[in-house]
Amino acid sequence: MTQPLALIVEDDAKLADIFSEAVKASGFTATVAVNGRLAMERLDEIIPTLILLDLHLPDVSGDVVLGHVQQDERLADCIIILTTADAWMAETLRSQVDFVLMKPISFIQLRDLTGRLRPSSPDTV
Amino acid sequence: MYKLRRYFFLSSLLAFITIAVLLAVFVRRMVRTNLEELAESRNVVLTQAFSNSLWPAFESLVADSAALSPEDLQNDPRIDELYALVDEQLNDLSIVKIKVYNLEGITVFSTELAQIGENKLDNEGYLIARAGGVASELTHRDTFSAFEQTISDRDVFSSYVPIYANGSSGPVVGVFEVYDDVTSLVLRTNQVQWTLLGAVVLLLGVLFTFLALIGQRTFHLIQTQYEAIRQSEASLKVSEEKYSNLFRQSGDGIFLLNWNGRIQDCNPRIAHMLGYSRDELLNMTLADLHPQDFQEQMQIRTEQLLKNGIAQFEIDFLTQDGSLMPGEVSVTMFELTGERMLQSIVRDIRERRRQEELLRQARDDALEASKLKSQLLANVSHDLRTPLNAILGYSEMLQAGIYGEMSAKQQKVASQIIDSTGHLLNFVNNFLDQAQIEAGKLQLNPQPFALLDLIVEVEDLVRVLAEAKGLTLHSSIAPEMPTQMYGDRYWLRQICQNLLSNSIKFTDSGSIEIKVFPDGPEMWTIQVTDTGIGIPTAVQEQIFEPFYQPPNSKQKLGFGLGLSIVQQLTDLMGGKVSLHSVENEGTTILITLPLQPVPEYVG
Repeated sequence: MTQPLALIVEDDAKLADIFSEAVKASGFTATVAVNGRLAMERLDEIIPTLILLDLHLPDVSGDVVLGHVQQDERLADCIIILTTADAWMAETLRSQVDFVLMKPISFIQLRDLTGRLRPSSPDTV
Repeated sequence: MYKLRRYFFLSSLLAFITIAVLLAVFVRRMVRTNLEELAESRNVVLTQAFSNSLWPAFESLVADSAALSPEDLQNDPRIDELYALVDEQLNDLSIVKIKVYNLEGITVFSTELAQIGENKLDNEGYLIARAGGVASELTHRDTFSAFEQTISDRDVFSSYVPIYANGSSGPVVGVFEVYDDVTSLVLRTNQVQWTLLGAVVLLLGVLFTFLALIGQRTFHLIQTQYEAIRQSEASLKVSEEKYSNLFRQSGDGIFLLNWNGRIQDCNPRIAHMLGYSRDELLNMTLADLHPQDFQEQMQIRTEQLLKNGIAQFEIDFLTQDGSLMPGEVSVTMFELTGERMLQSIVRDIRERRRQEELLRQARDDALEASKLKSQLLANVSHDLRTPLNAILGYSEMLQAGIYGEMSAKQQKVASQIIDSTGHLLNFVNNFLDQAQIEAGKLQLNPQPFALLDLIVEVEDLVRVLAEAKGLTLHSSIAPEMPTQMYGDRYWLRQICQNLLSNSIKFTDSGSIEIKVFPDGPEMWTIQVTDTGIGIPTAVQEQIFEPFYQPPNSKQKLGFGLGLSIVQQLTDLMGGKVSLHSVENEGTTILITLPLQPVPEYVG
């Protein structure tokens, strides 16, 4: 059985690495997009189970990527987790996403959360 | 005015005196004439009587007299007889002297004997009488030789009367001169005269007094009116001067315009403002000063003026050097000699505009600076948290054995890195929150949220810390709590997290409890209770101050920002914080906030 796919949208390479390891540790396959434009291009090709979306991106900002996802019916079932340090934006967008994680995000916390979200997991929400 | 009155009185007085004198003269003359006529007719009658009775006795002497010398005449024996005759005839009369002349002018007989023989040919009275007339004269004599005696201080009336041959007709045969003592008559006449004069003067005096009174009254009236006019003129002058000064020295420019916008008058200030001379402005209309939009402006402002009685607006004036002067204008209308006029007061607002521009610039700069500051805060926040997140993440990965199993020592080191990073993160978070609050940038964003979820989330977050210290953590939520309420979820989370972190920090054994219960309509209390070291009563006030460290804590357990932030956030949300603590027993902190429930059907 193929593992569910998680798209990590994060411009900081180290964090992208940690987030990838965390989702991998909970049974996902991880793919990383380092900016908003690349994320949107990738999303035209794949249908991930989980999107870990940073709001603070160098080119196209995270909320634009979010809008793109929301308009794409193929992606309607994607679980979206916002990762940000911007409390204001986080609260503004909270109702449009499944989870908001405030940076700094603990590896353990993310691993445990995504573990619960994995489709095959008995804890799936 | 007083001079005029004096002149009037003096001239009136003079006129009255003149009239009185003239009247007196007239009366005197009239009385005198009457007197003389009376005396003369008496003398004439007397002469006729003399002609009838005595003339025959004189006739021979008169006839002879022409041939006699004066001495002979005086010594003529007939004189004594005649004298006795005359004396007898005239004894009881007032006649004091008589003389008889012949036609040659020789005094033929005189009761004053010394005068007999004198020639009176050159005497006018004599000549008149010889020609048939009567000549009389009233004279006052200090002394007078009368019959047999000399009398003194007498009025004597003398007449030359012709003697006719046959009584009152026939040729004149001689001249009779008779001296009548009219002293008593004159005296009586004078009495009448003075009485009359007195009556006239009295009458005139009364008249004059009456006139003077009327004059006085009239003058008083004129004076009063004159004063009133003078006063009103004076006050008019003062008012004119005041207005004129106001107009000339006003700090604002003033135009007087006719209804078509032609300038009728202007003050020096407006001329100075616009750079034109007064004469130049008097040849201009508003169209010259607002060439761009005159018609349009005129229409708008006229409507305003007619509607409100005043039009106030700001408009640009074209000045003499071609630049535009922004002015604040206030136009009112009034009537001048039946013509509708406009008064326009213009204030030069170039300086004000400049200040406004400076203020606007300063505000823009401040906004820009504020924006930059917010940006800086956001960047610092991001740039601090990202590497810290990396340290935390990698340490956790090491500890979780992602990169292979670690020795117990390595595990401990990783754990210490995680611990320290946690502290640092906590500080950074609090520090940034504090900075944001102090910068006034913190804005609440109330939205529907589930308080229950929030409590669970925070509990999950701090459970690791509590369990690491062997503390039990539990929560209790009042069952009547609405599913969703309006509030700022992020900052409420921050409050709960800070309270719980703090309790864990200062509690070494026992339990931590978080409770949520209602405290009045739409008021909710979040209560956190611990069994920690407690807060000494003396410092319970200070504990909410930034960077405060409790004196009884064994070590530095943070930076003293947590409770300060809780206090400030609660204030912002309109709530209040209260504290109950007993040293070495524990602390209870209560946060009471207004939280409105979200109606169920909306949620």
